[in-house]
Amino acid sequence: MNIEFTLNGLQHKVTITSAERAIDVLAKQCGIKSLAADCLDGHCGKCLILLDGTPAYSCIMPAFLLRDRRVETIDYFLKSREYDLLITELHRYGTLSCSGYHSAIALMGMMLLQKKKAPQSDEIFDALENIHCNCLEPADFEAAVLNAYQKSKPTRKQYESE
Amino acid sequence: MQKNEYIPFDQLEAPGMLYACMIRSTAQIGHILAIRPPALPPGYSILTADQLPLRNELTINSVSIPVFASDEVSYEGEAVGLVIGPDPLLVEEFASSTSVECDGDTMHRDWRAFPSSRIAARLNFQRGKMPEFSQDDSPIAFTSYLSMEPGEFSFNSGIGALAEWDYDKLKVACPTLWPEHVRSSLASIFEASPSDIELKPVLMHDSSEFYFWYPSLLAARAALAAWTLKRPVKLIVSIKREWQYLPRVQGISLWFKSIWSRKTGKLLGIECRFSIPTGAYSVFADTILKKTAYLAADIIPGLPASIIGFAVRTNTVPMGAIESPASAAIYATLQAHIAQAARALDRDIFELSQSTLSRIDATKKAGMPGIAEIPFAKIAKPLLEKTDFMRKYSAYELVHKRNPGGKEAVLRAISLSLAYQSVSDFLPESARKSEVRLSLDRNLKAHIESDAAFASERLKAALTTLIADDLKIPPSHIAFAMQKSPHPDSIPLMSSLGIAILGDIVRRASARVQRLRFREGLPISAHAFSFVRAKEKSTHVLSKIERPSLGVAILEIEYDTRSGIFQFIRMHISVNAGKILSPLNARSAIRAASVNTLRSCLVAAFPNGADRNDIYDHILARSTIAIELLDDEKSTIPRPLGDIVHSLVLSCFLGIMQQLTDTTRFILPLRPVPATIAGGARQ
Amino acid sequence: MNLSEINFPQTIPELLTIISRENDIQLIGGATTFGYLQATRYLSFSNTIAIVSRIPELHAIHKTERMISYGAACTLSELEHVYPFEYPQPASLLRTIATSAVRNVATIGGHLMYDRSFLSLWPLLACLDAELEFRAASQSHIKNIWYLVDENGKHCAAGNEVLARIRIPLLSIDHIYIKRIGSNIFPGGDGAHLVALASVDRRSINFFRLVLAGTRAFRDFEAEQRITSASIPLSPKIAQNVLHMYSESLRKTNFWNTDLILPLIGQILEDLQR
Repeated sequence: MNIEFTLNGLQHKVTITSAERAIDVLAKQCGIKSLAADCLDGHCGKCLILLDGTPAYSCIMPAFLLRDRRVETIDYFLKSREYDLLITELHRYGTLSCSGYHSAIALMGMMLLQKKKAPQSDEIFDALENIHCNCLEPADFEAAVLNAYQKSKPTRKQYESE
Repeated sequence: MQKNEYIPFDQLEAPGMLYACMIRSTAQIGHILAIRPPALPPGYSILTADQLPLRNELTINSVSIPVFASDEVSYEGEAVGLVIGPDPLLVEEFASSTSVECDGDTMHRDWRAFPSSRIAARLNFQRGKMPEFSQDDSPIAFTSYLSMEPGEFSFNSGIGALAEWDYDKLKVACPTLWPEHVRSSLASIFEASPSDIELKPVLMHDSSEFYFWYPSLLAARAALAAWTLKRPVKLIVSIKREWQYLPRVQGISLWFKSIWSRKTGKLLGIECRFSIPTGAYSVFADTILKKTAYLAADIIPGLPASIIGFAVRTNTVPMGAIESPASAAIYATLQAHIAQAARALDRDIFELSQSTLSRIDATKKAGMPGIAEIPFAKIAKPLLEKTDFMRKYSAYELVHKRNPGGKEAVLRAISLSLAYQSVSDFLPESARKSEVRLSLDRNLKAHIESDAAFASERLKAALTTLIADDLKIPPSHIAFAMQKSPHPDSIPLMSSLGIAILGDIVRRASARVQRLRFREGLPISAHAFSFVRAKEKSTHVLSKIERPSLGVAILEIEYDTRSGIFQFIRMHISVNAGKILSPLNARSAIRAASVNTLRSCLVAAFPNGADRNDIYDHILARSTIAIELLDDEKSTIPRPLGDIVHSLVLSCFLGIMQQLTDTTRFILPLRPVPATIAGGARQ
Repeated sequence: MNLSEINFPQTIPELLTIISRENDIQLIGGATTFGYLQATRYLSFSNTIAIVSRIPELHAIHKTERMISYGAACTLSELEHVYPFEYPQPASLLRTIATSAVRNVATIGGHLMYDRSFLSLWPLLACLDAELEFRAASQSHIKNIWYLVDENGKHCAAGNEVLARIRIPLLSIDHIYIKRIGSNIFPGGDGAHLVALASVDRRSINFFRLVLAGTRAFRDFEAEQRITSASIPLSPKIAQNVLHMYSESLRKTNFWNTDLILPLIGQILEDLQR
């Protein structure tokens, strides 16, 4: 059957079957390369997407659940100023040393940066818990996100006033 | 931001490529009676051992493994062939629905009790004479038993292999830390020259450090399929479907005895019997046995020791980790005995640990620096103060002595461990050669030709930082490339000894370039190498590495006595490992090793996923692991971390278990108290 | 590969029409169990599937003076700030179910209707005497959550009815005790949750409920009655009597590890008195 959904700001219409997982449709039909289906268990976090602004594992989600939803991957944020700020901070704290999780870590960071108020510790740890990276130090990720959030404030104020 | 020129494996493609998935015998072992695939549509085919035109054998350290099981399946899940076709998802579907019938031989899974026919390797280490009882100083002995289950690797890399033939030249892309072995084993199978095999570096993730020979097997399967079908073949591994059939980190069953002097508190001798499962094919069995034994035996030079170990063949997946928590088991048990002795002999635990582990080496080897007294105090004292260890330890000990786990619902415990990692023979004897060619061009772009092109991203980042600092160029100007002339004996870079050696070679090469660039002008190139034969005297490099890495760890927990679940975990680790190539990377490596060791103590994954303690996913995610790297000003090279983190964390964990329950039996992973009576849980 | 016909009903009547038409139909909320449990790359469902997660009525959360009700398609994340998850222990319990990426998609209906075991929130809602509103073709039924438990304490299916809403009376709770025991809860391990709730008014126990649920569910209504209206502090005789009742009823099931659970119940009774 055909379904429509918004992917990274653009409307997509794809033909799916009931058997397909969301990640396979996003990879094969929509050309998304930033996701990996390593565990197919909703465990490692490399398949994380933002579904209507909140994280979800695309590897355990049937493709039909994408219908009429808003999906974002890290590719959506690559050209934004917040992304550059975030990556700089993440590198500064060494949180991107484990290369398998770059996209997932950055996506969780970007999700937190979209919040209107500065993200709280609980929210940050909740976001990080979605990623099963043993080498990632939660305190470093928290510091990187909060620093990036602070630095992105002028941009935020400008958007809000507009 | 450093530009990453390597592509992840799952994004690799070749024109006309087919996908392949492994058909596994999951239900039975023994002689293969039939392989029954589902009806395959046009374009899909099966490849089995009987269709292979060439050798069906991969050799790893003189152990032969069939590329595909041909007559006989030796372990649950052994691959008997491939399903190949254009759609990767359909290929996976067909592979999972292909059944393999065998004559159902008995499976031998037990590696704790075994007949001699299942012994793949044995080790008998005897040193000195065990103390005798005398009137003046009657020794006290402690015994304990430790069992650790084999654990899973975290296959976070997209593992697999893509093979393509270009007439008689083979091009292979697969994530591997041992490219030389991939080349040499493929050359052997195809009776070709290693120079006819081009290996392409692929993005390597950092949890890949545990496995190093398995990619060679995957590459062989892909290459044979590509040879047979005359098209590029990409062999993919479905972690979800196949995780329980992929190589494991070995477990250990260990009986340990330590003998102490009541009067002086001195350790007089150790006795130990252990067995490790190697799976169906005993790859590196000797090496792993030696490493496990020497990690403890080498710690206290001259101490009388009797260590007997067995590697046991089982009908399970082959094991294959050189560095693992199990390797640290003897050392960790010794640490637990130090804590026991401190209690029994009423000694300060830190003083006893320090005095036991810091002996001066009286047996100074010719031509090598003696191992001086290990300066644990220097790195331990700040940590002891920071964590208020002595006060907490005394308080918790008092609680446990007064009422061991009786009415208290939640108990606290704290433990300390000290570890040092000296150079031990944990690499295949011949595999100790590494080489680097570093060149700098007029545009200040550096080009490094080395097997480091196949290293993990963490190592490459650390080496990049080193070179950028030495040559004063931006990190983005540094690129890694494959060595043009492969070395037959190059080291797998999964070993931290290999990393330490490579770090030194890269440092020497960049120092040479820096010296010559202003004198001779650019472009300039430098060549540095290390070559160590087991029988030769140590080289300049190895002698520097003889100085050990040191570590101290303190683990503090809260334990729910009723349910048997740890509610709260906090770990502090301090490590002195010479010059650290990249502190951020080193900390993340130490953290990863700590979490892996804690998981092997707490979370069951093998053999049955249903027994997995999923409660610890949440608890470990919220645990604190504070890591401090201490600068060794005198050092110019990094020292190997090796098993130091495994030793520290496992030692701490055993110490905690002893403090909580005064146990001498450590059965890991630690299972919570079952909520249902035996047999009820499976209804 | 099994392919299913996919339906996206927009209303409950539409959903019921589809159900009445099809023999072999599966209702899908967040589908988190299927993707996790099925090891093959392609997913398998019944011949017909109906996606309930987008029906507006099944998403609504209504609150009155006496009661709160959630639509069965509310995600677990949507419940984070509503009763009873305003209390710290239930909030903590919710977070331990799974990571937020799962909670954002998994529905409360799917969570309660999972038929291989009683998942983490089940015993809490059972203690709250939650009611389940089922819709059938021409009528709706409201049943106590214990309706899902058969005579052996196992989860039983609800037939062709659609779980529409979960209704929870708003109670004033003074004591909440939640303990995780055993190992794995999902997909069907040995693990279980022991949940006890109590309310105390003028040194007298208003109500006391205790539910143990994992692969099976357990509750002793008589023991609860025995303790209700008792004075605080509990007399040793009552405490002993209640423990004895639980001991007997647990042993009768021939299923639970009484050596683990009885001391926990003892601890609950002690905590009540603080």
